[in-house]
Amino acid sequence: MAFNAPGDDADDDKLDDYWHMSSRTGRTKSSNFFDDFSPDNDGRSVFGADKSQALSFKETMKAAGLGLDEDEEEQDTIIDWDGKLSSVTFSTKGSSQPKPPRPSTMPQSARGTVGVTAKPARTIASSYATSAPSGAVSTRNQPSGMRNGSVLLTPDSVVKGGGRPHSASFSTEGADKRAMDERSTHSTGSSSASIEDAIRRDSKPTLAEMSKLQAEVQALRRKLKSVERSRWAALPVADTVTRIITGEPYSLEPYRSLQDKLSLLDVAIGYHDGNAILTIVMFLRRTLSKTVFYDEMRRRPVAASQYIAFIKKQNEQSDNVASEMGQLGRIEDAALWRYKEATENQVPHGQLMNLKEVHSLWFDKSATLATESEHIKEHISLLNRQLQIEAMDERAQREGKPPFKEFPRKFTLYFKSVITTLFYCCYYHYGEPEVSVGSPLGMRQFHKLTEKQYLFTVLLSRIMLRRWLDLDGLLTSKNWRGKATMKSAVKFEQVVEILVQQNAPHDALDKYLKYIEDPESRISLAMKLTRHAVVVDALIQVKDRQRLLKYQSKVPGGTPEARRIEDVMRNSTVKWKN
Amino acid sequence: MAATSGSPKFPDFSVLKQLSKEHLVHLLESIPEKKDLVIDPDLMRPLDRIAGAQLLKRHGVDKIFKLESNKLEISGDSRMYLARPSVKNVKNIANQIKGDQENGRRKKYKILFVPRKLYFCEMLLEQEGVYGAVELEDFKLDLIALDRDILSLESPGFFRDYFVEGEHSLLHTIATSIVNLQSLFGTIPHVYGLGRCAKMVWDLVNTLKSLQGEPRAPIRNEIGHLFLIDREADLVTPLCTQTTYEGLLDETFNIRSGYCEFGPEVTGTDKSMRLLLNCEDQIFEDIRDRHISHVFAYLSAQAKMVQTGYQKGRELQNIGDVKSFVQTELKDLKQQYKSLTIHIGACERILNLKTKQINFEEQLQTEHSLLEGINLKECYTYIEEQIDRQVPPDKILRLLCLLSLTQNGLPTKDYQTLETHFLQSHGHKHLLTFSNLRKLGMYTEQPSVEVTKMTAADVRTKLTDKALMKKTAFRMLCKKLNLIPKSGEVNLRNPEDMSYVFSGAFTPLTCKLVEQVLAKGGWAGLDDVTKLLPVPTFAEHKAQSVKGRGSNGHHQVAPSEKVVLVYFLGGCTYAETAALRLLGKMKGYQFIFATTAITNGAALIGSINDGKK
Repeated sequence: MAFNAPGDDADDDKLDDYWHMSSRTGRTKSSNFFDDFSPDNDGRSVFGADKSQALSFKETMKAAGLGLDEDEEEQDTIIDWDGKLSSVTFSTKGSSQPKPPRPSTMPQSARGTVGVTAKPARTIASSYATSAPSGAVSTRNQPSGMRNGSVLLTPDSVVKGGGRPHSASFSTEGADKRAMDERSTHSTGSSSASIEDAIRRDSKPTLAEMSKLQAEVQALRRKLKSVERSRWAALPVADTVTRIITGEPYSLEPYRSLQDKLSLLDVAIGYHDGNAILTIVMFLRRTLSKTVFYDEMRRRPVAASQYIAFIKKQNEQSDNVASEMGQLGRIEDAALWRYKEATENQVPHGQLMNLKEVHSLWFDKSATLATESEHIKEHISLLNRQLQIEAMDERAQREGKPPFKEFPRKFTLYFKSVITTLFYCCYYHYGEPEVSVGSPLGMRQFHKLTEKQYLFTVLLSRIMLRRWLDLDGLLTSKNWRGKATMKSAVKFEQVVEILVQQNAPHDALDKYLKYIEDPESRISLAMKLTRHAVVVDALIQVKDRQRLLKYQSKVPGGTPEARRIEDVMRNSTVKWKN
Repeated sequence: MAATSGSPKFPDFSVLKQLSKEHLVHLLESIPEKKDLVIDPDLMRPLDRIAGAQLLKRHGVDKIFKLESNKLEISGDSRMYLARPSVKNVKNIANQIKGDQENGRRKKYKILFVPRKLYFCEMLLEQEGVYGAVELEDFKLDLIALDRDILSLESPGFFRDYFVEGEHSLLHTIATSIVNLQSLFGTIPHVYGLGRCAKMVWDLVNTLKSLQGEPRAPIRNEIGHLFLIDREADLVTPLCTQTTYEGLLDETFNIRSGYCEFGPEVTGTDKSMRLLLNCEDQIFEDIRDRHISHVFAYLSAQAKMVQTGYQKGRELQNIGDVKSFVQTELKDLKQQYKSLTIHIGACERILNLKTKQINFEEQLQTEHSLLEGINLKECYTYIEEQIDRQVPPDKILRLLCLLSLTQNGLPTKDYQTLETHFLQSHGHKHLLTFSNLRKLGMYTEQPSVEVTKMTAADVRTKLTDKALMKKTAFRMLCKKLNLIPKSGEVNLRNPEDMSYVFSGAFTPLTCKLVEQVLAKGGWAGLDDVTKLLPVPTFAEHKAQSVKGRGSNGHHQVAPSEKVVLVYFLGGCTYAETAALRLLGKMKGYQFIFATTAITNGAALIGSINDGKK
């Protein structure tokens, strides 16, 4: 708070711009404050009761008027002895009156804080000699418990003040008449205690005194306007928050007590506007110690989420995000965020180290993250395996060893999933002993993969490589008598599906179609794939003459299947069911 | 349809477009000289619905650029940004300005934030040291009329931002949009809310209204009811595969801001084509809500009609007839022909994709079994196998979440097995995805109740236990609201039941609730249903002081009573719009939809999938 703060001009400019803009866009709100100072708005206006006026002198004393009385409106003029500075403060409810009214639903806490909020005065330099008479009063009215305020020179106020003759009416007799006129026209009914009046209580206020008061009222009205825009005057908490919500200018600096800050936050949370919440959270972060900030934020999960959502977006790569989340009590989220950051390291060795560190620091000992911890452990060993295989295979490919010569690798293995890695191993390291790092069987055992997980992947790799013998081997199992049968955990429908996807030759399709146990599903799948031989065989198997006859038309003549149908139809030994 | 005297009047939403357009022009003119315009890619399509490039050029826009992280090397002296208030955008803008400053280029900058600037925008600009160089303004664009009856904020990020991250910034925009609608179309007397977000939005609406003051001359309301529905209240519906034409178009081709991009395989030419899909395309209007199995027949009938139309033209002898034919009918025919070509192509493509995938039917079957709660063992096996076979993650997550949601959580063993297999198939980074799903309650573990160790008395007490009841909440909801019709009972050709949008397997919960609440005039009488819902409900009725309509004796229902606005917070699917349109047709209501964005299962899951590279 500096004398003639350099930022003030710019601030005012901005505000002017705001008013300009809003009146242009015709928002109803824009005229409110002006309305309040228009003469016809006298009813419950700022000058309702004399009690409410406090006049003060001391430069050091700023937020006068507080605690003077319980009235809704309070104003005070602070005019110093030598007449160089006069300050006006309007505070508390007076400014909450502008229409439209602030919502009555606002939390009680918001209103409650008003009384205890110190209101630093905005002091406005004035070159009029209005000060002398009023000076005497101020000492009497000086409220207690004021904090140091600022003395601020606002050029535009001075200029405006100068431009209005009645501002000077305190000391000029000639102005009385005019002021009286004003009174009659506006009938503001002001009976506020003037400075002189306060000194000479014994006498009734004269017309001249009244008119002086009247003039003062005018001056105060103008000044109230500037105070409204002042960033130094603290509005009621709820008003400031609604200003944020409606996009009007506001100032948070005056709220210095923790109580004020927290009621700001609570009011904002009560209004559900994320932007207002974040605005106040950032103000709290700036003005409170970390400890106090985190303590209070932990108690307000809505605000904490809003804040975390922001820092996540703002600072995506930083470790701060996780530690702040931790401070705010989001231990699990923080750990997962660290894990996420670790996975974003694109250097395989680096990522491995990061993962290990994150795991041992944040997951290993956490009770609530036990499952995640296991998964990350698996992730680490997977990456470890990938590093070893890569080192080995990269060399092999460079040296042109088989099978890399025949099927050169198109991508590196890093950061692929378990199943994709297994596929890679099946593709390049099939049949290697379990102890080898690239062995599919070894992988299967290590990662505790199920029969299905393993088979689907192995089958795919074998089919892609057209290794039909391997395929047979995989799908054959020996029963307890040692007799080999085609049987597997994977249904043959699915085997065929993979074969189709990999554009396997027809004889392979036919072969595995035949292993589908249920004839009906065999027939329907074979029909879908137009494998005539299989359909015909299956229909013969179920002895369905009618469907076979029907199907005959679809089989092109002259083919072995067509001949087979003819043979069967002629064969009288077949016992058809229809 | 809406124009007929019997059905209630549609509020005319073209005024929204008009207002936004004027607002934009005003903002553009605030820099009178030539300027370059840099647009946030997310805003390009929405902006297309308001103002074309022509309009921008007419108001002094020189070049148009996409806002990206690059440095802009352009010569213009002033530059205008049009962007959503996101951290990324603000950082990009700040970097571009700093880049100019480093190169000694002095320009005038203005940033228009859509729909409003947020605190952090100014904060970041200040931190980056460019605050002094820019002028900030709000382009207060909220709801965009995508169609006669669909309004959208076009903020697809809201679902994740709000329901996963707890970020509340957009609530203000949603509330403002409602306030604006009410100031244009009158105060809506009946409001029903479903969900926490709905409640907050409604509170904020009231706050904003009291801050603004009551409108001077209250206009007669054109909308009678407002529903505010959290997407969280019904996550099952968006996960189901839609089977209406429009729904499938969205799932296959991804409709964005009403525009659909068709590739060469649809257009039959070598270039792709962007088509605006709305009620102005008569053929589309006729087929959009049809079940896919009855679209093709309609299209071929139309094709024949167009053909006869052309034929007629060919047979004309009289010059005068030919002239009038060319002037009137030919234009329509050409338009129809063009539209038909596209829709037939698109329909064919959708059906092809369905038949080509061997397991499409199986997947649909699984989905329907899950909804019905039958064959759970088979469903589980199917899903496990699909995971093991590395079916694309978004697709399988849809089924996985359905599995969990329809049973209100999975038994511990299944829960862990499926997650483990998923991570092994698609990478451990999906731990983050699962964390999101848990936060949303889309993939959860059932609290373990060891029945075997309990006595009969224990079991009885446990049965009354709320936790156990929650376990079957979805099943009970289905039963109480009759969400699952008996199979084969639903007529897909001339539907009379809202469940036709999912081939008769399931009635969208949201739509059923709307129907019930409208019938009962509120949540009262639905207690046994509301206690099963995962979210709270509320209702508010304004006493209608103006009874002018009733004064002339006959107690006729005000036409606005039949106009219902349903606002989906977190996205709405085309299946839901189709279902409610059907309800409207049957019960004489006119439904209007407002939403934060149009969504579908893939989009919803995609937005919370953190396992992508």
